[in-house]
Amino acid sequence: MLFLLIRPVLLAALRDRLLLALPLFMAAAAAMASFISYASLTEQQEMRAAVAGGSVRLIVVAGLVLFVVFHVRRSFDSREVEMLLSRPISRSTYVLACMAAFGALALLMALVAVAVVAMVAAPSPLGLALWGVSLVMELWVMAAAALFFSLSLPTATVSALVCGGFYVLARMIGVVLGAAHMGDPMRILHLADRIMDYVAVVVPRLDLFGQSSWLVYGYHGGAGEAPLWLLVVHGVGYVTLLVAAAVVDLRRREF
Amino acid sequence: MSAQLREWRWPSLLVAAFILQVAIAWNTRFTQPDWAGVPPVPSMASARIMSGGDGETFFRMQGFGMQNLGDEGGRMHPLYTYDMARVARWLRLIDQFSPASDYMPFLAGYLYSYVQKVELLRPLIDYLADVSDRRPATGWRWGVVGSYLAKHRLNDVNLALDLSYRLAALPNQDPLVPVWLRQMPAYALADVGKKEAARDVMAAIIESSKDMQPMETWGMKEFLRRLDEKTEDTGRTPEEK
Repeated sequence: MLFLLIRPVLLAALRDRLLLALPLFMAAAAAMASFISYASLTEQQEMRAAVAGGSVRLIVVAGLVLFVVFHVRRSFDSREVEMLLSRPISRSTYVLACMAAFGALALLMALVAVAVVAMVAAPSPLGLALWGVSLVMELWVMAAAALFFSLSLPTATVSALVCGGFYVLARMIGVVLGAAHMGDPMRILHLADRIMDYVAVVVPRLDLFGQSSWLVYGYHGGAGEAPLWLLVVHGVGYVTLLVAAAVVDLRRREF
Repeated sequence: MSAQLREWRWPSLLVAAFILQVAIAWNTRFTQPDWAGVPPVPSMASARIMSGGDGETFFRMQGFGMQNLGDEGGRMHPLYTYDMARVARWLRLIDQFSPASDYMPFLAGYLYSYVQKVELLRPLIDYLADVSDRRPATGWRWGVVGSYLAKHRLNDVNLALDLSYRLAALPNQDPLVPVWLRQMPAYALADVGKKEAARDVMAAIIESSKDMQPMETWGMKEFLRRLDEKTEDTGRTPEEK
């Protein structure tokens, strides 16, 4: 049953040319990184790896989020969801099937991203492997967030904007927490600092994922770098949280 | 309004708007954004927020921006018009996002050091010396570049001497800094006329470095011999110097 529900999502990705467009954009970004690196006065290899890694990550996150959001909203608008739920399929099965399909797409796109970066930048195998695994986790988190927001919010535009804000906040939450804990007794924004502490409880630490420095210097496990097992546990745990929230929200909805 | 006029209303508007667009483009063809000089340096917290959680990519892109600073939009600006103190602060800030990289010291030592007004070199030399102090094992050569700039471009032998003392005092880490770095104060002292002090420094190195290559030891002894020759040429003893 789960596979029967996954198949239409994958077909939609093919129909939307996502599987063609994203690799093409990634290749273009890698070519641009290569071009910029040749204009760099020194450390061209490092420039290529960092810029290719950073831009490819942004492209694949943006592409996946937009696909998830518009696909889910389109399914609602065309009454496809109502038709599916009128059959003996539970709402939780529907959400799980969607997540499995988006997760498979994310995995595929992450593999393409790793291949593209490996081709243009030739980073250290360990650094690239770590970057790739953490990118898969990051994409799963963002796919789950896009699924949750598009199921909860009324329009695709609003969902996409909220996902964008969520991603920016999640990538910056480490810096925000650092600023909040500066330890300056004269800080007048003490209340704001405490608010950020509470916000950080529900925001994933995506700033620890997909670091381009791993592509340049490899992984050293220094300060500010989380071990791989923690990234995997954090990623899987947060996806579980978002999927559960999406199921609870969908169960309460009346069609 | 006749039907014929209504039919031509939108095409006419289209043509009029197109003509307006061409006129504006023609008029503004030489209006280009002006370069307001080296921009103010943000705080570290602001820079970290701007990095979007990926410091390395931010470092590379900002470094590329520093490499092309002032040379955008088909226009070039001479380096002496730059606020070099601000450039050095930018380099220090960006450097913190990838402390092991040589990109920023490279820009200071081999790009901005070509500034036409040599007095503007001071903040850059200071930055290069700091890089050398911060990571002696891999960054000592930037201290040497700073010392070279101080002596040969700025013609400030006292600053060069200070820098050579800083270089000689670098801790020996893995990989080891070369012995000639320890010799730099001797050369700098000889330059400022303190030949006896130069002799002492070099003699102390020969005494303390027993595992040196024979050619290296010979080179240092040769330096001492030439120092003696110069002293004899002038007909004065080292003490009189």
